[in-house]
Amino acid sequence: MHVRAGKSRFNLQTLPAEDYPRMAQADNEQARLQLTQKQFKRLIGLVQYAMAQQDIRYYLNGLLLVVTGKEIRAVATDGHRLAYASENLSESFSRTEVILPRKTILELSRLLSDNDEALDIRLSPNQAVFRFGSIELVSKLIDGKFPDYERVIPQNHTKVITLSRATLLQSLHRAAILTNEKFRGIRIVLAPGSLKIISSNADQEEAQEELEIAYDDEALDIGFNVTYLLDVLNNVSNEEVEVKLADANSSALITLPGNDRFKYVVMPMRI
Amino acid sequence: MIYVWQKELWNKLLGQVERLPHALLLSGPAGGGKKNFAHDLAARLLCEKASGINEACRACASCNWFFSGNHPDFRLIEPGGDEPEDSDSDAESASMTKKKSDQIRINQIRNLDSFLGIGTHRQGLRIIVIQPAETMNQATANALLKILEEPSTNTLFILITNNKKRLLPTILSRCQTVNFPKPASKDALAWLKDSGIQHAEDLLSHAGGLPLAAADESKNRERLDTFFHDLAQVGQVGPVAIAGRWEGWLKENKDGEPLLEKRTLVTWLQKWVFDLITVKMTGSVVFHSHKQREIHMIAGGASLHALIDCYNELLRIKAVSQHPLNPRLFFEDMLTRYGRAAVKGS
Repeated sequence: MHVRAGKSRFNLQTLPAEDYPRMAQADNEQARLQLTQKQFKRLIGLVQYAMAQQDIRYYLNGLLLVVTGKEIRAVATDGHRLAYASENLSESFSRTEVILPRKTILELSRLLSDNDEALDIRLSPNQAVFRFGSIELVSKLIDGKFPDYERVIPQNHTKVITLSRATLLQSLHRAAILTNEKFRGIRIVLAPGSLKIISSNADQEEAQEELEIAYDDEALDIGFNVTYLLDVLNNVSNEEVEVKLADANSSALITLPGNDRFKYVVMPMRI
Repeated sequence: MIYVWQKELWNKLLGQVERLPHALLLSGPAGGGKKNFAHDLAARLLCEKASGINEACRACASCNWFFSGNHPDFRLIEPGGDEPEDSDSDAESASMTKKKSDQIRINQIRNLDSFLGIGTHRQGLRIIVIQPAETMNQATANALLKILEEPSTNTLFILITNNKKRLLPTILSRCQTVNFPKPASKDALAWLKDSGIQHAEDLLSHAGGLPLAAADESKNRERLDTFFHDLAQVGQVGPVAIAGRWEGWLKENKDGEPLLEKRTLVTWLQKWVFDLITVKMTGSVVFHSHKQREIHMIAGGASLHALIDCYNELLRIKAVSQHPLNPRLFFEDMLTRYGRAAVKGS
């Protein structure tokens, strides 16, 4: 191949086109759905940060996409926290589940734009095809069984607090400075009327943040990895978030008030 | 191309292609064409045109990629395969001095995770060939075991080994073993002659009936003749002079490959002493049918005890033959021991 531009001249090697490993298209389509690019981008944006990175449980290095009834769900987990989001569909489908590889999800969220143009998704047992604008993205799927996310999401946590997302995020950011770099643990101390965020590091330094909340249940002292909390607060856009807790050994559920289409579960940490 | 002597196995395996297990272990002596068989089998299973007991078509897209070494659903795992190829000049000088690893490293198996976890490229099988399987160290073998225990769908492992006993029993129990017997000498001879190899009978008998090993040894035929000649003269010329000549064979040729390895020479001497022993005990030879006269002559003058001792010493020598010992001293030592056993009056 020759490239010439102005006074530059390049001679490049080429390889025969038939050596290119073209993907075989699957012919056993299970579901074909239509969404807008914005809808799908929002859906994966809500959960993709929870995907595992290079976990030996290979099926966690991806995002579970479930189409069931008139709903599409996206679930991602790395074993410590789990994010779940769903979106309504216009038609009804029989249940189909696929796990999309991490790379595909990252590429999709980069390529999809924030508009109302159509996105055509076709799912088959070992392939997924995304068509939007002038792009067609064919992805292999991850073989494996994704953990049962419905069992992970706690159902009856009684201690409910509602917080301003921005305030909580800023407090956590400040407290995160003084956490142990490896474990990133913070303590959350809940008492009637107040929520304290306490962190300390190996050099005996300590940080404490206090927020005023509407809460009148019993006191609770629970530890979390602050990264997992920051992740979720950074990726949702609501004014307020709802945190549901039970005791120091059970996971916390973070949701958005008046919206049951997003759930985030995070395991506590012993500090 | 499948070798004539493997045709039967081939037909049998492909006859049950629908019921192939997730892991095959090809086991048999080195030089019988197992690697070739494994690669042909992989090509055939990945080929998108071939059917029945036919071989890969070598024309479809899949075959194209396979034979140019680029098939996306195929992985070959060999010792030293994880070392970076010398892409720039700095790495080149380093790799010149560094010998290729003779083990399969654990990372090579771990890297398979991303290959096995994700669906196949062409919607067919994915195939992993591990050769030779006994070069996996313990950690590697256990990592592989993890994968073999929970095989992913549409996956076929082909393990190749010359020495089944050196594999972990846990791996053996998870593979279906395919035994490769020594080919019939008629087939092997015919093949060697078709390949234009001179003195096929002699080489084949020296290689213990394994045609590929014989073909490989044909490039050493002249040295092999000198070797026999030298052995006959150990008594007169003395080990020192001979060791000097043998040392010369280890020199590298222009491609940087040594002409011969110490190990090969030890093996040759082992075979020689082995035949001396069998002649003494049974009157017939195994490896040196063309040197019967010399063998009988030397064996006549040596004691069985001394020969067997010598053979045992050679086994010990072979164990250290890969060590960076001074080759001249190494050969002198080996020849002195041989001389003590086989040459009268020394």
